[in-house]
Amino acid sequence: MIALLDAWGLALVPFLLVSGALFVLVMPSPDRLALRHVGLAVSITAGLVGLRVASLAVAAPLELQLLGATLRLDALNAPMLVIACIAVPIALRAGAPRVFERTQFYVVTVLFCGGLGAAALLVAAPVVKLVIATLAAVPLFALVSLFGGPQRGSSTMKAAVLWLLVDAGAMAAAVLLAARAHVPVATATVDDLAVGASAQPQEQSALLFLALAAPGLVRLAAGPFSVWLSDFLEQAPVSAAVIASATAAPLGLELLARVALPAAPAGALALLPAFLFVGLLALAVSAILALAERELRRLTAQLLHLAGAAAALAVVSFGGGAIAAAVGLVVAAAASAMLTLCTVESIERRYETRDCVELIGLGHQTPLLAALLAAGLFGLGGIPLIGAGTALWLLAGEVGSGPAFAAAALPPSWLLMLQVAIVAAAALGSIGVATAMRRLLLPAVRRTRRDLESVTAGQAVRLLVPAAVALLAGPMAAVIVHNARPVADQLARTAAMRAAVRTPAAAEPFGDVEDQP
Amino acid sequence: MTPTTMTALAPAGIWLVAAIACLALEAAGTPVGWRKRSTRTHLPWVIGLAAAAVIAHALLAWPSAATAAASAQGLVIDRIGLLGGAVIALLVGAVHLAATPALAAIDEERGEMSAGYAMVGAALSVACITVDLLVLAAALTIAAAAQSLLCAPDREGPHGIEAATKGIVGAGVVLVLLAVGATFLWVGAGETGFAALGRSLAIGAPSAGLATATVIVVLALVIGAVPFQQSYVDVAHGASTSSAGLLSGGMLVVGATEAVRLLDGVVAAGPHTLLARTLAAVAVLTLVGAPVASLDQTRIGRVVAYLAVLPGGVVLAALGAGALGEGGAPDAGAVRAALMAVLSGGLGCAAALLGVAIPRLNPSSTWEDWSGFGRTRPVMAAFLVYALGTLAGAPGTVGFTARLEAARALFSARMDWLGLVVVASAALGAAPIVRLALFLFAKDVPSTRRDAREAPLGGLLVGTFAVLVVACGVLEAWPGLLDSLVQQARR
Repeated sequence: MIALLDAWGLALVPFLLVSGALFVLVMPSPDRLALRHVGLAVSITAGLVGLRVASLAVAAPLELQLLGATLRLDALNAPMLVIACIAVPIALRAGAPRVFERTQFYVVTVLFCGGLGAAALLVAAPVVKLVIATLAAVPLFALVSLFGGPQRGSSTMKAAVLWLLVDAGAMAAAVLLAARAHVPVATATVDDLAVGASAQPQEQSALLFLALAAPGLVRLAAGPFSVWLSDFLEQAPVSAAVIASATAAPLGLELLARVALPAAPAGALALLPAFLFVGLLALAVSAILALAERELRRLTAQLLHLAGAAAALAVVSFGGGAIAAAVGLVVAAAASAMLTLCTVESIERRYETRDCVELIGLGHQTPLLAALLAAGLFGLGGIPLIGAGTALWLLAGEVGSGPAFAAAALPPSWLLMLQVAIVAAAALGSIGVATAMRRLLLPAVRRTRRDLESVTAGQAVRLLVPAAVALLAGPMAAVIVHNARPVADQLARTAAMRAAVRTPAAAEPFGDVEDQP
Repeated sequence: MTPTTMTALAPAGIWLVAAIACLALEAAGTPVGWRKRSTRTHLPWVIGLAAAAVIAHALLAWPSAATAAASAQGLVIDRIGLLGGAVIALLVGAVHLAATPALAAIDEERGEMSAGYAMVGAALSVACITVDLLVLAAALTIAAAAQSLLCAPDREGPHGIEAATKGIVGAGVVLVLLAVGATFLWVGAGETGFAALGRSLAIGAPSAGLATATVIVVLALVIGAVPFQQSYVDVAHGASTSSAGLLSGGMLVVGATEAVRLLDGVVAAGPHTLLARTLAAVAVLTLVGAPVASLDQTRIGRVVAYLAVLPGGVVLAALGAGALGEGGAPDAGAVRAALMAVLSGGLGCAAALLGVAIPRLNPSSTWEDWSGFGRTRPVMAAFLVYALGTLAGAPGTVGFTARLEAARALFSARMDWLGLVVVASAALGAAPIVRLALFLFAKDVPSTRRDAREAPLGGLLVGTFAVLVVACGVLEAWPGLLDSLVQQARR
């Protein structure tokens, strides 16, 4: 019975969130507080269920057949589900104080964001996963367009059109591959897509991989696909920003590692030199921009770009350890981003600015906020043991063990350059954070809103929740990487074997690949 | 007249009776003691009953129509025709119901207006079941003429007369083209049916190619495919929203069913690569050109009108794959996909064009006029966005399911590039909807319009719109419903 309930827990997480949203929608004469409390209750319950099933899935993968769809949770996507579940109540609570009108709509959209994001992480069929991922963007953009900053319209339009274009391109490629494999689109598995890809001419493989990988790269905000993130984070309400960083990025990694890589690995191999070149460039640009950034949310965006680019490079390295490290990195970065964004929101409510220069003196006025901001930003910046740093350094070490570089006949100096670039980017990002923090710690007096002169106990407790998550994420990242490694190894082996079959010249570096399913 | 002909013509007959009843209620048939105003309240009932009768006829004739039976008059009774007739009846009934508040404002000739709706229903019902170019020409001309009569006096905006003129001119062009096509066909094959067209193409008769070309242009005009969309878009924009809904949905159904019949006739003689390429080229132009043109529009009426041609593009793309069918019949998957696109598109068209009428802005209203509608009426605005998404085939709607089916058929027919365009262009189609959604939800209501926005909405209009949108949602949630219906229709 308990085992049955555990399997059903997979469906329960998205179901609770979506049905909670529907309940909020039809609540009779709802007041603002009741709506928020119902939303929090639903999201916390879903989070607890998510934690329970994730803890089980780490030990042994869970699978559930429901209405013709397969839901699957294992050590690779379990941490990502957990962070997505944790993000929902934090996002709901963080943005609520500024929402005075349309609270009902606010709660509904946040719950829908979480529910659809969780469903997209769990569904196994790639086309269905892509469709749900596309739908999950709708409430996210609705949040921005309803509660965002003054430029919300143009930033949402830019981001939404980019997301739509890449999603539609990926769906087109997936439908093509499913048709080539002679299987129904809705039930086609990644293996079917790989069969379909092998039926296509070799010269199309790079294009197919790019089409399938683009939704993942956009959500990860990796390299040139990150053009949307800075403006989006600048204009988004804190709830949408938290959800975008804690749900979209893990979903992006899931799409990249679970759909694009196993379905068209030969394309990934063909594109590896280009990926490497663009990735190095992206790491350098993000790190340099982080050095000069004054606006706290844009600084967060630059650090997320950095993590996204590193995670994407890890996936295309075909290394199991690197993919597992990418999971840890994305989860820890999401946790640190949540803390940063919630703290920045608190700071902005008091000082009505997010500019570091205008916030000089913050450290003296409200040391708690300055400390939490430092923890969040340094966690994103790549200091080991804090936030994403552990995973980033693990990733820098593991990326060299991926066989793809040898298979693509890249000189060893490139690999070394990549590892140095990741470490240097992390260091530069941390220097950027330190520069920003130095300004905040300078002695000066800031004027705050009279009603928010000091941080109350309640506000501190609310900020301590994301702080605890972010601080735990650092050491936990190592555990996540360790747990995810077997699944990631299997995934990488399968992809490598398929790439070797399609690219005989690259077979030798993949030659020690065993246990091909 | 044979029983087959009588069965085939039954929907048209029902609509004609309804038209006569409407005219009678308006003029000579007013019973003693009744005031004209009270008789006019019965007009929606007459149209509603006629629509119900046509749908009931389709249900009753469905089992016996498993095998197509052709009559000497170039009419055919089959399940596709029954389905088309039922959808048209649904559209006429729903649209008339929605138009009732607008019709109530017309002092004179209200019965004639209702009779006009019934005449459009009759003509489109015949157009759905014919396999003869001359009958098709006659039916389309009557439908366009009745539609233009409906457009002109609607007086909802400054474009009614323009729409009526364009409608009549479009009907004239269709009539001339079909007459030319029928003449070429007669010269080559001695008949004017689609089957004769296929036979003459098979033997390489020189006039057969010209006849096929004219028929394709006519079907493109009817569906509103790019580059033949101008008349369609102008009429859909200028007509009152209710009649535009009928026009778009009804014409899509007719254009698609006749395209399937054309394909049946042509492919009977073997796969036809040139026809496949022609349909593919028009489909690509429509699927890419219409959303791009839509983004460039400032008036909402025109934005929606451009989006309304998108399901036609999916139909043409699917039928392009169907033209390569082996064994003397179009590819079953392709026809299935085309029918799915027709049903989802027809429903989406009607829903979207009714939704546009809800804020009671005139058809020339711009993006700015719609600012903040989602803030005052969030549910209606969300429904409108969903209806437009269905029309454009955005992911999560039944329109996208139809796109996936069409792409699958195209990939099976080795038309990979077109399949990719069909799915990927969903993003292009969704772009204007994203823009509209941002205006609806992200902007505040202009202070000059705040009072108008708080006015109550028309119950009938809102109810009809909501039912259509929910129907779209149900079909998406249970795609098996649509699939089984379409599979039975083609059996």
